[in-house]
Amino acid sequence: MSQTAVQAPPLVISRTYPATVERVFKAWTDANQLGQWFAPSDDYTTQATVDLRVGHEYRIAITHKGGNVHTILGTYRLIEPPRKLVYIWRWEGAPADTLVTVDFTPQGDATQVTIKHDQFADAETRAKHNEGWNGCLDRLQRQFLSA
Amino acid sequence: MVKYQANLDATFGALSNPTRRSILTTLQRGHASVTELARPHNISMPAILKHLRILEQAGLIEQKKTGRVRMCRLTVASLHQASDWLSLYRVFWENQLDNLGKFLNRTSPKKNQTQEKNACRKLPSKPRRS
Repeated sequence: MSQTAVQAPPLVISRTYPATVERVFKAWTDANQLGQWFAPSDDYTTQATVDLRVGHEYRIAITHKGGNVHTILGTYRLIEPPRKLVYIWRWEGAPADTLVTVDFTPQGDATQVTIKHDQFADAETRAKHNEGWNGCLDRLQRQFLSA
Repeated sequence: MVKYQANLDATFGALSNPTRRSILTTLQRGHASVTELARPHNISMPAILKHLRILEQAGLIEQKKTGRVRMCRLTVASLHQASDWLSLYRVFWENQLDNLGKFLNRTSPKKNQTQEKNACRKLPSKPRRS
């Protein structure tokens, strides 16, 4: 049992790239460009289709060289080029939708990308959830560590 | 995988309610009876029993009947499973973001510009009068 095992969602990750916000946004929303970087490693190839309109779908198929295919799909909820994207994320075949929010923030010539990956795609559930269970989990974690 | 997802849904669904979070907080202090758990909340016994059932189904608590008293205690397995979900996604996203960095670097228009700039710098510049 790892000491860091209990973490509070949502998952938030930031990274800064020496590229303009327009380029980074395009890399994220252009099917052809997505296909060139959105793969876990060189053992995979990625094929994406993107209909960049609110309520419309994207689909990213990641194929392992052994033949296994994992597909991520969902609809866009919010599109504010080149600053913000919100979309549903679902592994094909999985019952649960999750929600991904990507912020593209210019920092001089560079761009900071912040991903927030939320387990709840439904806004109301998420709002209720955010209201205080992070703190709850923190306390639970302390409890388990001291037990 | 589907079962795993369903378990996660149950865990996070259970945690999405303030009364149930409060029950979990109380249980951090140790075992408690249903009556003790109901006390701080202004809700009916059937309502508290329903919350406890949801928490139990999500694997967050265990209920045990001792005589006429129903005792509850925390279990941690589901919480760990929930955090596993996050760890998996963290690894996934870190990886993707590395790849994006490589892609942007590979396709950078600045690369060429920089080379041009450097090439320009190599040209002898006119001596400035100071």
